[in-house]
Amino acid sequence: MMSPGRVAKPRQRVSVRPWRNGCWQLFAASVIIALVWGLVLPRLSRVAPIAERISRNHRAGIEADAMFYTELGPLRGVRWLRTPEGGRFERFAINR
Amino acid sequence: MSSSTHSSRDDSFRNPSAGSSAPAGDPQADAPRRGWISEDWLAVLLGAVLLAIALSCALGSWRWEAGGGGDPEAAAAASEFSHPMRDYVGKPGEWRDNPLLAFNEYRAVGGAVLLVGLAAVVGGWARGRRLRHFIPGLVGIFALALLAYVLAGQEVVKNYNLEYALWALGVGLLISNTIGTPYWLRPAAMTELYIKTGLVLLGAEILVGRLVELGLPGICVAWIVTPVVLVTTFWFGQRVLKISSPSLNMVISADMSVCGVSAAIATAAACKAKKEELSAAIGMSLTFTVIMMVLMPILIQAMGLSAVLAGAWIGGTIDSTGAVAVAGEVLSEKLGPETLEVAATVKMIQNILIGMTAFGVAFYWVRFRESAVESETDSARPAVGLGEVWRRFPRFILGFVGASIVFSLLAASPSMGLLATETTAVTKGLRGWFFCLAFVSIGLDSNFAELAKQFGRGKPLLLYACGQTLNICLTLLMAWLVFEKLFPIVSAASGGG
Repeated sequence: MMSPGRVAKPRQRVSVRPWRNGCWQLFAASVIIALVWGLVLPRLSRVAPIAERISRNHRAGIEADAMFYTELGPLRGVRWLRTPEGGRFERFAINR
Repeated sequence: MSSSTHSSRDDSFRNPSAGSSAPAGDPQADAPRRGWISEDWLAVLLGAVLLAIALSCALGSWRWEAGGGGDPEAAAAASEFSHPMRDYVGKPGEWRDNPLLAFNEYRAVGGAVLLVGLAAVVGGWARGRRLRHFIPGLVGIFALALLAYVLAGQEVVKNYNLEYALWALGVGLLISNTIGTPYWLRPAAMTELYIKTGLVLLGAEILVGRLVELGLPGICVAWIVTPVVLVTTFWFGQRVLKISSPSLNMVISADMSVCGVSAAIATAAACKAKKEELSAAIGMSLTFTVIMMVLMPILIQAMGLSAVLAGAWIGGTIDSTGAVAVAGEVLSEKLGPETLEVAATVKMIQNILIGMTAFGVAFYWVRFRESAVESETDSARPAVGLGEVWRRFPRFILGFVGASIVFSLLAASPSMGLLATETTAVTKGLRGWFFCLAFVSIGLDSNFAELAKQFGRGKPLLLYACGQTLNICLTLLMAWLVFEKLFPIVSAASGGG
């Protein structure tokens, strides 16, 4: 019996085995990851526009996941060449 | 990220509310012994030792190959110089159907794991971790980092610029929010040490000499617009959107205006942001990057921009370096090879801005912001004195800037330039592993509820969207001004230099 002045809290549905629930959640997530990476993404990589993008990057030697310029791959960089007499930029040159 | 020696915010990059299966009161999980060196100086030391190892290995080979002074044959051999550690430091590669193919370069993966693992063990020992608890945890975190790299290496994922940072966070979060972070993993989850060591290594890749590659026009696009957008976005977040966390505001502003994930990491460390704030900023940045990487080339073609202007616009606006190259390559086929090269060069100049940004943010934070936090006011005043600034200044930033200065000087030398770039070609692999370990640790120490709080009422998203809109408009204006009006190209033909 409740003492006067105290309010009854609504009963909460608390799992008695949270760790076990967590294991099931982790298992389910792992299965989803395995299916997406094992089946879905390999099929997606054969879809024409995606395959074209991937092969374009491969041809150019681009590391598409580069976080910093040092990871970019064999880019040559550019230079601006000035006219001998004036300060104007004469032409754009790609480094060798 | 807090530092054990000078931070006034112990909650940064630490979240005691994260799910954990550690038994209550477990002394190892909750209270590691105090180390004999501060985390910042330890990161500087580890970074310096790794750089010294890579440099001395290169130096040994360098003398052997180039020996002979002015001998032309020796000079030719030197020009084809390759670092002897190149085959022994790397990450899992790209794969399509079979994830085992990611380990084709197994020697590189193994070598990197060994070197980084050894550095982490030394770090754990110096910070007072008990090695019999630390090493099993480290093995577990390495396994998760390896999984993150393999997930990021899938062909589609990689070519859409969904970087390993995202998957490392994801696998950590998955574990902490399902079964809870096992207590045996927790001693090795030294997020701050991994990030700071990675940043010291990153410093060596910031070669200041690269700034002048595009001359004044490139500097105008990358070095005028970027700080203006950074400061304006931060001001907008504080004054107009009234974002409650200045550090979240700063990380998003830097991430969006400078160069994505790497800038977010450096700024978060400089302003001692919470782990969840870094995670939220990176999540937003990578999402917007994928969208911009696909849409901007379409928009540029519709607008009929020139190759150089298009390259400068892409390079100055898309956050991630890899995504800039992908978008540049798409346009290169239509507009010419200049697009990719200009885009990549503008991005590279922006990348170099990281060093000054991190230094500037760290200085601003310890001089103005921390005193405001201590006095519990939103105002950035009063400023603390320079002596106090020095006492509070995150020391690893000194290592970060010092590595940049040393390697910039080496790279500027005609005889040793290749030596510097070959050395950083090796250390970039180690840096990637440190960051990957850090993101796994952040995920293990975070929970979805805390992460969701960072997006409260959509203000951070709004901040990102407004800041990026300003960035897009200003960069286009500046690129048009400098490349088409102030420094117009007389004959826009590409050729050998």
